Amino acid sequence: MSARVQYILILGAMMLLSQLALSVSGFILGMQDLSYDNEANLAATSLAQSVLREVAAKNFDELTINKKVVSTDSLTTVASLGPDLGETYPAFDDLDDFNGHTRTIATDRLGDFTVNVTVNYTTSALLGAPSGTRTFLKAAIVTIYGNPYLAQNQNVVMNTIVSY
Amino acid sequence: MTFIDIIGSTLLGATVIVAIMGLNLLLSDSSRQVGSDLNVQENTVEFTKSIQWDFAKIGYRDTTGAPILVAKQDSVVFLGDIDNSGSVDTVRYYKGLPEELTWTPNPNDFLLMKEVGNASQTMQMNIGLTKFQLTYFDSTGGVTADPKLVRGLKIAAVVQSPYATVDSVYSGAYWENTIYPRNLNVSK
Repeated sequence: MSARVQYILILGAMMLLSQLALSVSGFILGMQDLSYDNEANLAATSLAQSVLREVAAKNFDELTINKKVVSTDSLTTVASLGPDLGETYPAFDDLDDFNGHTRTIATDRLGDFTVNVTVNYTTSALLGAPSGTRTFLKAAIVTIYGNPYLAQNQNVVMNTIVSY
Repeated sequence: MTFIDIIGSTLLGATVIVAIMGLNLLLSDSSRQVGSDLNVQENTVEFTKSIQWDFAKIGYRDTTGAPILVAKQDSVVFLGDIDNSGSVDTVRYYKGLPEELTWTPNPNDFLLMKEVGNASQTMQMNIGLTKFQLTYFDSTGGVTADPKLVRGLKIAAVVQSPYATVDSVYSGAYWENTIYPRNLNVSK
């Protein structure tokens, strides 16, 4: 075998070895990314649960705090869903005050997560989708995003429906 | 074959062997790290199930109207029928000291103690907690330390692996949750 053929074979072997090293490195990085993503999902899910519980624990409507309501016409209008005049977080007294609410939650290990809440009227047929009229059901949708450890473009979304 | 050929091929062979050994080591470290991360995450989920189950029942079947007896950052005592037996239990959760957990190499982990009824029924939860912090909220959402005013409580916890993995780093997971037990009537 000539020296030239030997050199080519050695070069080929080194290239194969480099390819193997790159593949292994890629695999390891992928595993670590997955591990961080799992942890971020765990934290984001617990944060979303917390916010949903916080929202669902409030009064159904500003107008049901001090009196009973028997007609949906007596509830807050669809256009007025959101914090009432002078109300700021955390002193929200009814669940639709959270409509449009956005805040950042700091965590110990993974940094900040941004939370956004949307509240709308819904019906049992709409299953949480917005209703154009007032009903005795409100849907709260919590979206957690903005953390670098969450997989790219991935938001954690959780929702619940609260009845009067 | 010349002498230089032999030296050259030996050096090349040694380099290849070292590179393969390095890769093997990297792969083994990585799988150890990922396995440890996964264990910690699974432990965290199990811990959260237990905590959420018990804390959601604060005040269940209580007739005193003030089911939270002690509300501290590292401990809580509350009344509630957590096992649905028909009788109200006095439940105490508190964090132990890192010195009490000597059988793991992690110097920061501690036991979480759960007492139901009296001290003879203490359950020690060894899941690698390195942080267990409670914060209490009143009906306006503000932080309170008065047990009578508590309507919700936030649990923040960090769980770590008992053994350090690569570079003496402990695998960990953070979890926090805010619970508004139904029997504390948050909206009132």
